[in-house]
Amino acid sequence: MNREAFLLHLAKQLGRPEIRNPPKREQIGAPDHWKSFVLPRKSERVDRFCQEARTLGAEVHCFETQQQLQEGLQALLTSLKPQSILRWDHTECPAMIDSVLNRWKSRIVDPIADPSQALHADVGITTVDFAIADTGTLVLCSDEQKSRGVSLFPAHHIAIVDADQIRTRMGEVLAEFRGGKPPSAIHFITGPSRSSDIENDLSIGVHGPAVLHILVKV
Amino acid sequence: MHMLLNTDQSLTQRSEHALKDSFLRQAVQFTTERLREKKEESTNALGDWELWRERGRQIRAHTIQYLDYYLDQFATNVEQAGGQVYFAKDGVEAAKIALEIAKEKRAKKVVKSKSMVTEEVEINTVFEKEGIACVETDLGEYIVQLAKQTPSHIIIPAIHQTREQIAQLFSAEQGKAVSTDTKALTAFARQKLREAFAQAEIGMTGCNFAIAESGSVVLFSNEGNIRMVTTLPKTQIVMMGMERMVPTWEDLEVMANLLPRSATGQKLTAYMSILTGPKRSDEKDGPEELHIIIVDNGRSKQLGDPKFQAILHCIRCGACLNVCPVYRQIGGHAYGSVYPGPIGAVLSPLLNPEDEQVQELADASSLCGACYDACPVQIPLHDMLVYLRERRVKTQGGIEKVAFRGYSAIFRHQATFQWMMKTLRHVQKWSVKDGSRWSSFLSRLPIVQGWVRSRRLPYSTQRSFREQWKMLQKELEEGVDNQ
Ligand code: SF4
Repeated sequence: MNREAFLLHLAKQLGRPEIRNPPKREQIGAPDHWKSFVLPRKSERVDRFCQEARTLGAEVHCFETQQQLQEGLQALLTSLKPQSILRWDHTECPAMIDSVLNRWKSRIVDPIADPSQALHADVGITTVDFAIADTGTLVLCSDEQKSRGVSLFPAHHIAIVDADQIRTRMGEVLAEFRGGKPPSAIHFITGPSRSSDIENDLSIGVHGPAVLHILVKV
Repeated sequence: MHMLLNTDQSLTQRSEHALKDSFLRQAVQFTTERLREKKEESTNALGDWELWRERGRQIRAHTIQYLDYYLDQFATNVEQAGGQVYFAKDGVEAAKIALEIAKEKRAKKVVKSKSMVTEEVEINTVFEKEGIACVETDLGEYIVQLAKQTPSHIIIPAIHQTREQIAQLFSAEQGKAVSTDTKALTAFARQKLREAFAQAEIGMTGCNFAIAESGSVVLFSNEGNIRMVTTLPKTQIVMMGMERMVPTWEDLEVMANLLPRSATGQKLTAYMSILTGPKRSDEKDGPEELHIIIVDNGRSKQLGDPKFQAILHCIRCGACLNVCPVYRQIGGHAYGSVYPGPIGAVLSPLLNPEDEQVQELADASSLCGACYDACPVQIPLHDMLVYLRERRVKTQGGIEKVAFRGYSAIFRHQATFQWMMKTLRHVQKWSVKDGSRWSSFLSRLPIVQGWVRSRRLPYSTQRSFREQWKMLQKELEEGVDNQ
């Protein structure tokens, strides 16, 4: 059916001509009290974020300095002993990550050259675009350097968050995408992949990562 | 296209069968109880749930009232982002469009994430006839597909399968024994489905919400299968009911607060993906092509109908299933339709008005109103069930007419009826909660007598609800005659 006929039929059913201008609205989005809810202090947002993310089973580690974060990442990789690593090409703190990853260079997988190895990588390392305190959520946008699979294929996802990226509510993050052309994919990630489909028994790591490590620079 | 999945049995036979299956009944009751409790916890924690529900209703009502405008805006924005949009008036047309895309891509395998509209149009059957394999990738749906069954709950499709049965299915698939341990079963599915994700030429998803102002498709999942389906195959097909729209990004925040809480009691699912167009040319992964098929299939008949338009507000959360005394007794299969529970009892007859057998589903309810109380967008399902029964009584003659004399007699006494419904709803609410019987004073009121007695019946395990319904009808007639 063509679009015009389809839409015309709907208008007819609704008993009016087709509408060309945006319909008037009284209520848009969340209730007002929610829209004005912000945790004013950064430390509060960090605390809430960490608490919510932990409740959902994420491994959260906070670091005071860049140096400590670097050491934390190094220690984490050493304990995980990954055979294969995926990473975003671009990161907000590339120098920091690069200096750690230098030691793991031979383990880094190029997803274009070796897609099947990428699909079975042990660890994926990303930064984030935003994080949400209210729900302990990470927000990752795709682009030419930030591919979708890095936070999805590996058994372990390591996400590096800067405290300044943490917003209070989802609405603040959604507002960032209004108007312009949004990225092709925005993923809101809240805890590791999970399912209760087998006899209501929770299992972690179904198709996505089984372990979500969040390293926060406060 | 026909929506019933097993029409060889009547509703009565299907419910009798379900009542005999004690594992099924226990599993359904346990699961619905768990989901209901979790929902209550998470909505209580919000503190102002009723405010959110009301806002949810307002947004959905506005969107449906101007659906043509928002669909037009959505389609324009999808095209601007590089996607293609198709409009299908029914299931046959929707399936044909999808099949043409698959054939053009010479697809051999399609990986699917859970989507009820694709079940409505029976896409798997259509594809498989053409030699294209469809693999369901939601763990529950995968189990159900291997068992050659249909889902029994819209959120937890394999509610009715024991771990032993699942292990058997997986072992047969693998050619060697898979243990009954949840971890082992999950690991098997992960590894097996990963192969399918990598091989499939096409990824097919439904759509939880579509944002008109940006042409984005929003998908919620816990397992991550939807992310796989929308990351690996080169072509993505989205099949969506035309009512999935929300106007703006801001409105999405409300839906994201309502849907996971109502479905599973989560604040947010593990993944929420907002996808706009295919991957950009310089991106390394994601689909190269995006096709969005917008399906009517009986929905537009509800537009402009003051009694039923609100059914299009539904966000498919399944909360009404979990509180329904009838669903909790008989499970999803007895409904024999894609949509079980109270939502199915209303939606299936509405989408298939010409199918008389489907009209029966409106009886699969106790009219207690628990579904309305649970619904995150306040759809008055119980009123709609009454209207449907009324409509059926009007259009059907003979035996049915006699059988429903009780109802129609009551409908004539509008005031009494409404008072009664209101009272009963309140009473049932607490009686459902604490499992106690009806208060004795109520049961002494004349017209209420028949209702009260029968309303206890859905909790009795001895009879199928159809049998109970026969009794209800008799009692109703007596009750009315006594007046
Ligand atoms: S009718 Fe309401 S409660 Fe039932 S599935 Fe739809 S939105 Fe959820």
